[in-house]
Amino acid sequence: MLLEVKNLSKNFGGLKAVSGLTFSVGAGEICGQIGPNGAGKTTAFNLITGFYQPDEGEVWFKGENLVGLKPFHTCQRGICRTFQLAKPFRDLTVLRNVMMGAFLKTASPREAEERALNTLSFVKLLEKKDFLARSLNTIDQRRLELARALATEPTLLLLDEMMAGLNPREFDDAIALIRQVRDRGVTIIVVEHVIKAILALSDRILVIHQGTKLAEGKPQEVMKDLKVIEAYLGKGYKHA
Amino acid sequence: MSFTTIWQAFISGILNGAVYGLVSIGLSMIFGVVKIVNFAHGEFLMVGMYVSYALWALLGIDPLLTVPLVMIVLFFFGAGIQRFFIRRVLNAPDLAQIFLTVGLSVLMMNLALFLFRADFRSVKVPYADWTFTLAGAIISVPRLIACLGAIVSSLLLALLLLKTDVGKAMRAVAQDREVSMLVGINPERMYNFAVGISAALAGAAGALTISFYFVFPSVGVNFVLIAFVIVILGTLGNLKGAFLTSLIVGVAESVGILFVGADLGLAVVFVILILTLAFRPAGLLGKA
Amino acid sequence: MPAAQNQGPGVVRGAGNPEVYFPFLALLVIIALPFFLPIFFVHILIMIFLFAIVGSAWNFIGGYGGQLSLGQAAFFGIGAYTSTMLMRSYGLSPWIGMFAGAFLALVMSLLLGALCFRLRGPYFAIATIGLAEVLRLLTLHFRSWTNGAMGLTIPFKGNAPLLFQFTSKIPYYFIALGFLLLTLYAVRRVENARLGNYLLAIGQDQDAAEAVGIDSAKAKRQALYLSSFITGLAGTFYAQYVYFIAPESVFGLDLSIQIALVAILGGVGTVWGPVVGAAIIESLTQFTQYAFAGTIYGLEQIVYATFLVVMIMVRPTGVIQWVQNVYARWLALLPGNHASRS
Repeated sequence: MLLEVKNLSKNFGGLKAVSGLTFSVGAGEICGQIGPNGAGKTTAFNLITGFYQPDEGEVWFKGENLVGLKPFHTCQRGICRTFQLAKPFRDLTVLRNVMMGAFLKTASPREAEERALNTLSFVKLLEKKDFLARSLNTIDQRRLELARALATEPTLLLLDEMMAGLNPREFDDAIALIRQVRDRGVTIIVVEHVIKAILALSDRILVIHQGTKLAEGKPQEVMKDLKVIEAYLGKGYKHA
Repeated sequence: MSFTTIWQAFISGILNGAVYGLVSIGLSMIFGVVKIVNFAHGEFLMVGMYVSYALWALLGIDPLLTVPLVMIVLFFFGAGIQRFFIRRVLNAPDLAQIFLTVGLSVLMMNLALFLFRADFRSVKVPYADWTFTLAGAIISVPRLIACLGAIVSSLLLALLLLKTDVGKAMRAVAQDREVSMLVGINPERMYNFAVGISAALAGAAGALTISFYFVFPSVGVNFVLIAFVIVILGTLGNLKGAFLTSLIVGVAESVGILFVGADLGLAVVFVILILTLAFRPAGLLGKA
Repeated sequence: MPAAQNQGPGVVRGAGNPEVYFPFLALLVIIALPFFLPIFFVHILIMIFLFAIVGSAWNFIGGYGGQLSLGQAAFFGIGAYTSTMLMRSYGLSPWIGMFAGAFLALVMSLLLGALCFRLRGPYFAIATIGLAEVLRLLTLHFRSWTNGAMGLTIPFKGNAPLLFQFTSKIPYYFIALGFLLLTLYAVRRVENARLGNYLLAIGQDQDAAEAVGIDSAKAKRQALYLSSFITGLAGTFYAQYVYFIAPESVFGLDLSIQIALVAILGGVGTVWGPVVGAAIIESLTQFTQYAFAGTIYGLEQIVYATFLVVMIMVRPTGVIQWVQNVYARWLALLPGNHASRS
């Protein structure tokens, strides 16, 4: 198991955002995580990467407990995350943005630029490399976010709701791209609301509800369960 | 180091602290509402002192009686500064805002220097030397009056903020400018009010202390440095925190002076600041 | 025809191009100036160089690092007092004392960094003010060491290059100029290196920067170390140039503010910003002092402050953009093969 999360808990002044969350992710797989809004998925990302410190629990990655480390530490150890609302370096060019990620692996500006160009080419953003990040549309900003994360050459990539609001063609492109990322050897955790995406990508699915794991398993199994969950939650989920 | 000495220092500290509080609350409020750091705040106090001095020197009015008038003058002065200067840099980078107030501070100080010379002036009031003792500590009456005046003014401010529409509007703008516009509040007017009221408070502090402090053009500088320490320690924008912290800092300064001498009093305050921030980056009470 | 040098995509430059030859000419003029100008102007230029140096040093932490430092005088004063006291007590040449001072300034910045690096914005600023003020007050207090408010004079040894003293202003001019060019070179190098890029990212969005592995505290600390070291060196230069230091003149808040102002007025986070800012502010300061000081109380400061207030209201982001535009238009007027972009 590449990542083992054990009994992770986080309270925010009485609100149990994450409570006793336990799951594992194997190397090379794409693990999908779904759950209603406020279920704690993004909080879990924050806890794993060190943006928040958990009240309880452990995060084991490559044989080391990451709890207590700062975000840049976890990134240096190979976990990189994207943000739900993309956070590009707005006044910098696309190329410069990605170089920031590349600098994790090299101190040389020339090399960082080269790696950044390669990464941009991979995510198909190369033509826009000299655009200012703030001038990109939302989709491209997400692509940029992905490129910047990939430039750090992560072992584990955490994608936070990359698929929201895509039209069918953008959707297919995104799915293909994420699969290519996995094919390069990166393990991925995908958090999504778009069920179709989760089903298309995931080797395994985790259902998170009220900060804890509600169900886990192969997509087909969880989907059957999903009907029950939907009934329970009474929410309208997009059907596959 | 007897108990009496420390008790004396404690009492002095509280008396000083209350006056610092009056200055600090205004500074904190400007930050809370207008979101800028006002380096010229000490100069509001200085102007208040000179206005009070002028009234005393020309018309023989006791400084304490000048307080309401000083507050009115300073209110318009402060609102004017906001309206004509600060407003222009509200959308500029923070650095520019800070340096505008720095520039205003230097300008005001030197205008005072130009108009009134560098002479240290003082006011002679009949009760200047009155004292009484409280459990062995000698309390100077002018200082006590200043302290009480500061407390009363602060309470009036609290009333204003909590009970009046203007006060609530200012608090709304401090919390969320955009939303407050949605409910019909004009943030610009609130900024004028906030700076005006803060200036009035600082001016009042000046008028209250003129009976035992010297008046000179750069008198605001030391006050403003201490006020900054207090406002930061009490967490920027937190007015209750500011007043409470003022008392703490006042006492710390007085007690510290007992150990290191009067000339290092300010140094004590700064050391406390740096050490506190090292362990509590958001201030004594703060959340980041 | 001189061979063209390729620099960057699509730009062909040759020696006939004003962009290339004008800076050389300007440098030649600057080198020749002190031999022709009246002493007073040489002095102004030296002060401009000095403030451009400390302004650039400020820029590392304040501009690129995004942390407002209003306490650079702390490092300046440490440099000045260290080299001066070592010279007065042990006869140590200020050339060596300079590095001792800069090193101590660096140590002080280590302390500041360790204590205050989680602070942001006004919190950090007030901490830096506090640091400089504490040092100033301590220097005032320990009179037996530092002569307190009366300050220390540099013992006059005539023309003593080994002791960093010259009877003519011209050597000071060249030392300051050399120091400035080295500093600007350092800024440029850092800008392009990983540290500079990291500082840029942190300034844009610290959380996003951390998410891609940037240790923001470490980067800012490194900027602070560079800043403090250079400022410390400058403090020694100042002491050796004016022959007199006092707590207020080298540790004072006014100095810290002026240092920050130089970069802010010129253009934060740019290589030439502090140079432009220093040119404006120091010319103004020296001129108003010369014209008004001692005549009418406070007038020189009033003029200075009014100018400052107006400048900030008119150009809050600094004048460097405007200066660069003017420079570009000037270059376009000059004869020569102008750069053509393919």
